[in-house]
Amino acid sequence: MRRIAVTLAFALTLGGLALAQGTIKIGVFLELSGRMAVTGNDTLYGVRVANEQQPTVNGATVELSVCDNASTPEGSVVCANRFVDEGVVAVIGSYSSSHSIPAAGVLQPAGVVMVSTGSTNPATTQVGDYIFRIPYTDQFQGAVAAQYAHNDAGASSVAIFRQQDDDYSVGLSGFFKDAFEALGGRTTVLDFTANTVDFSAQINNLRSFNPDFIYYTGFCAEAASLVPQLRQQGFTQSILGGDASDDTQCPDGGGAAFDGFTFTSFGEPEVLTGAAAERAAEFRTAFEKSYTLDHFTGFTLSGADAYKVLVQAITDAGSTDHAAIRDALANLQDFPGVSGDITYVGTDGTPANRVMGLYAYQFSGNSWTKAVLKGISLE
Amino acid sequence: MAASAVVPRRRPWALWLVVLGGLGLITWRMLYLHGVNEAFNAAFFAGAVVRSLQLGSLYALIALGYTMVYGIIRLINFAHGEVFMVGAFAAYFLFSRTPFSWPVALLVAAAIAFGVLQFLNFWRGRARDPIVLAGALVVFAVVAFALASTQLGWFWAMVASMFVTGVLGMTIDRVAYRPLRGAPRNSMLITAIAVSFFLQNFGILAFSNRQTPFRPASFFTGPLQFQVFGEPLFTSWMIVLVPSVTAVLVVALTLFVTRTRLGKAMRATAQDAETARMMGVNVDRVIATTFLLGSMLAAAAGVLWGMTFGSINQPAIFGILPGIKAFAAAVIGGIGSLPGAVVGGVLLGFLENFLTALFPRTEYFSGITEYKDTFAFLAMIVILLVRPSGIVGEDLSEKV
Amino acid sequence: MSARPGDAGGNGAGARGYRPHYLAHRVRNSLLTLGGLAVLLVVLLLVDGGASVKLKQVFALFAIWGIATVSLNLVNGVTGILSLGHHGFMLIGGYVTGLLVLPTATRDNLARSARSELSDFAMGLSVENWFRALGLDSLTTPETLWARFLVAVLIGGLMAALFGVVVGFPSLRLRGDYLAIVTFAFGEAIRLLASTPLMSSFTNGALGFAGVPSDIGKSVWWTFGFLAVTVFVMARLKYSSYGRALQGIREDEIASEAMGVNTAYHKVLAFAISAFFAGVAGGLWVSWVGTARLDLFLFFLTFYFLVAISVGGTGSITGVLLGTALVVWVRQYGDPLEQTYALSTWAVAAGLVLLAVAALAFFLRRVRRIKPDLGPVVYVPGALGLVAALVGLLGQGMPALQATWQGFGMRAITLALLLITIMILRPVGIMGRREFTWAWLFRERLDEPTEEERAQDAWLSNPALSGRAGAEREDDEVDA
Repeated sequence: MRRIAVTLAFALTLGGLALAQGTIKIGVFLELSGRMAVTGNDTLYGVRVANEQQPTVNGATVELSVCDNASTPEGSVVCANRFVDEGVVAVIGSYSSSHSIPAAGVLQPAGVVMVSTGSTNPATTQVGDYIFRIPYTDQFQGAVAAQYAHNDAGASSVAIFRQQDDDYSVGLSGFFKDAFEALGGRTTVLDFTANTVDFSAQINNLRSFNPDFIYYTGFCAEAASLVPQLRQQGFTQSILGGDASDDTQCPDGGGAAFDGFTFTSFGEPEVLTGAAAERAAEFRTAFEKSYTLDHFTGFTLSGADAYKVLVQAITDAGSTDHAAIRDALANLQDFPGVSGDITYVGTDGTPANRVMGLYAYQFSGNSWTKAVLKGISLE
Repeated sequence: MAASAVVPRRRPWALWLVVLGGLGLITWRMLYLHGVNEAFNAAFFAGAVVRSLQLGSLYALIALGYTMVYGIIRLINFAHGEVFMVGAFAAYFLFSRTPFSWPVALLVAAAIAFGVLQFLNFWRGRARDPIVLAGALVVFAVVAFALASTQLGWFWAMVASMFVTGVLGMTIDRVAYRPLRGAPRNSMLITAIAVSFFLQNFGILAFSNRQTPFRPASFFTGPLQFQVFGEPLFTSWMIVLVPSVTAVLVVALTLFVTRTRLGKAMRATAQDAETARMMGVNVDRVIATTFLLGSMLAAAAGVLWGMTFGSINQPAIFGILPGIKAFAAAVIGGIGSLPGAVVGGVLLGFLENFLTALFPRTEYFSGITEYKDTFAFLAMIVILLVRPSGIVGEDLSEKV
Repeated sequence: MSARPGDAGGNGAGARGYRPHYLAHRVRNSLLTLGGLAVLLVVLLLVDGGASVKLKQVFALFAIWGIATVSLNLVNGVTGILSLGHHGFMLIGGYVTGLLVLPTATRDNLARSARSELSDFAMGLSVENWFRALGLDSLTTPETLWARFLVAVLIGGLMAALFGVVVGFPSLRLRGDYLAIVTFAFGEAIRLLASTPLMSSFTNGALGFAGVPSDIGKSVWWTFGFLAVTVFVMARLKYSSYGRALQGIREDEIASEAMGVNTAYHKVLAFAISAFFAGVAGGLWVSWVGTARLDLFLFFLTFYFLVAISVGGTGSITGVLLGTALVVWVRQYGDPLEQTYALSTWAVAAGLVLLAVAALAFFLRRVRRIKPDLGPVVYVPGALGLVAALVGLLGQGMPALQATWQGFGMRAITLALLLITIMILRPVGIMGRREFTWAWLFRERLDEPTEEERAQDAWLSNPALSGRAGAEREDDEVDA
């Protein structure tokens, strides 16, 4: 019996090799234009550098089929349909949960593996067993942020700014609210929609609550208007952002009002530990050869790892069969990724242990830097 | 155009009763809120008033363009919101990308000089007039040199953007609307929607496809802090700048419409285009002038809008909501009437900002912020059903 | 209705005086119709069985948008009221349908997740539960989704129709573009209110809900079935006494009122029927996308419908379907327009487009006998196009043209320009108000009298002019 299995596996591997002599296609859909373009492109550069490092798998050349979802859910569905038609082996993408979830809705029934590089909403991997992700979930991020607000910042009442038409923001706000209220604090949620520029009505609503801490779960397009308006109207409280604030559009657009703006985000080499930190630093050196370092963020590492785990899974599966790749990915254990070790065994598609960083924008004059405060890991 | 015939009311005291009653209710509500929470003090409401006035002034500037065009050719210029968008983006490029390279500088200077040429025509009457031509040439040379050599401040960027945008408005009229004069009104409206859609997507193509910071170096965007009944009010100098610029522009426009020959021709065309034509008015030129002036006001509004909020949206959506709300303001005030547009704009500003301050979130009430964007539409629907001529307007609704 | 000189006599110039033999032609037309249906059936079979998922989806999308445009056409084209709130009706139908067919598993997931704002009452709104309560357990399996979907989409359509009545009421007081703007305001207000706390217990806020089954919305058969029903109803309606009354309102509201048409009733009825089918289209559209989200129902939807109607032919059902096919094709297969190309390529493309514009303008001026043939409309775009094309072709080595540029929004720009061009050159659209008929294809004019009838008519009206009879019967209004 066992011999048959081994023979079969061997034959399959050979067959896979024979089949795969040409090229295999991996679909990449990201926010290359539109309101999240900065992060989308940073992620893509990560995928590209990882592709340069490992251009072949099972003897076949990997071809990236890149699709721009224009930072819209509709565009993501169009990309996903295109990938299904092209018959890609697997899909990488995307950065935002609001774009990953609709695409997952197309790829799961089609039986194509998708690895999201930035989606932190738990709902993404709950779409089905073909959907994986590289980062942590917002349940973790919300809890970390609540602990930071309560313990480190000593806050007892927090105003949460929530973008009500975005999955990520609504999810993160919910988890933060639950965690912070469990710690004994008070919260109020202030809603706004995408592309709001006038926040005076929301700020009016803030007045009677008089928070001593502000948590912002939206994206930088709106933060660039909100934070200066808050500061101008006399709110000097500390503001904490989610990982969507890890975007140059924030300090570039909002200016000096972002001085001291703190946020939790993906792990960068500085916050990683042990061998993972070395691998990340190594990758950064490789990245520097092709791109400038201001495009290097935690999302870049995430994009690279999405590519690396897929290559590993295709190697393990020995074929380009969708189901085999899925099984190989689901059995991945302690894969040495550049953003930390990745283990999918026994999870719903979210890696078991992830490292998150706490950062802050610091201004001197009109130039700013992103300071690393500390690393936080999930135990 | 102007509110010529105010229909004498039978009961003039009814209006006063409503106004005074409303003010009384507002005062009572403010006192009540102050009792609920100390945060709702005089400074809070004073801040809401000045911000409402600021927002209302912006709406008024945009609404003037709608109301002028509607008054003259009975067209709801759907593309006006996009003209506003182009005005803001033109100013953005003018203050953030200058000095330009020479080819670009010459091109932009040509557009500006063309706008100035049209403007000089207002009092000279002919484009071939040597004074007008010489003036435009001088402007061309000076502007081209300035664009190529220095960085523009926000004020000159605004002025230049007004002329560029004015030329755009005239071009839209010439290319898309003039061939349709006399066509069914629905065709014109559909064309206007198409132009609006074109400009939105052209903006994405040519300007930017994401939210753009709009922070010219300016004294006015700096903080302003003063005391209201002993409570500090934090705000910026923009609350002074926006209403003053609006007031200056509105006064200038009123003077133009009432004191110049072309303004008289505009009023005549608004009353009866056919008769005006028979009386020797060049109706096409009057219409072009209307588009020029309306677009210039919209451009000024775009610049002030950007400076007020610190960033401008991506072109595909930037103009839609402000444009439609300003149109609603024009309808509320009485479309076709210049004072109506200003009244409607300011009223809408108060509706959107002061009303949310009157019903803020407290421990017992979650606030009405989420409904803010619908106020303009609901108010417009109510006004149209109750008094289609608007608050100060004359009845222009379609007759037999 | 303003017909341009070029419109008149566009068809049947060679068929003057030919009187079709009715029975033979009827048989021929019926056979042709059957043949046409058979061809459509074969095409659908091929598409459904074909390998391309995208093609299948594009066909389904065409059918869904076709339902929406044909229903919008009832108000915009037939009744002549410009309605700009169609996306609002679609939103109502879409959300109602989506909520009613949401599978139980998805509901449970949603209820557990942190982002649910649905009330328990809304959570219980499910056709599946109703069927269960009625003892129809056989209709609650995944295979019988169609039954639940039919019930849901019917309810969605009725809800939309209810709002159609509400939106129709201002039409009793307002005319023309005031009415257009009120419909627009209603459409936007519906969308903006849907995300507020007032409605979020039903709509789940701005996020809506994912996981609406796509089986119906992406099925070519179901969508085309719905389209067939819509077209059938609209065609019957158009030629019924209601339809004639509606067309009367379009041509002259006051005259039709004087003729005894109850204009108020008819206008509200038109809004209600139009909204019903818009609701159905909304339900299918939500099913096609798989989620009910607010950003699916922006004003751009109504804009695309307007393009389809205006380009295809205002008031003509076949024309509207033609326009819809064009819009869907550009939207779905126009992505090469939005890729990144070198500036020289863009210059050549722009030059060619401008040259085409110049050629078209020249051709039209010739046909319409506008003198001179070479107006500024011809030589300005022509010269610009020539320069652009030459720069693009000859300057390929120039470093300035080596830069690449991505054509964001090119599809929308194309459609907007197409609409502007159509509005300027031919405001009635490609088909005008004519319907496609076989007789039209064979260039027969059924409304044209025979020579004998002409002579008779002429003699009756004025015996002295019997030689030049029928000269003034050359209008292009051929509705039959």
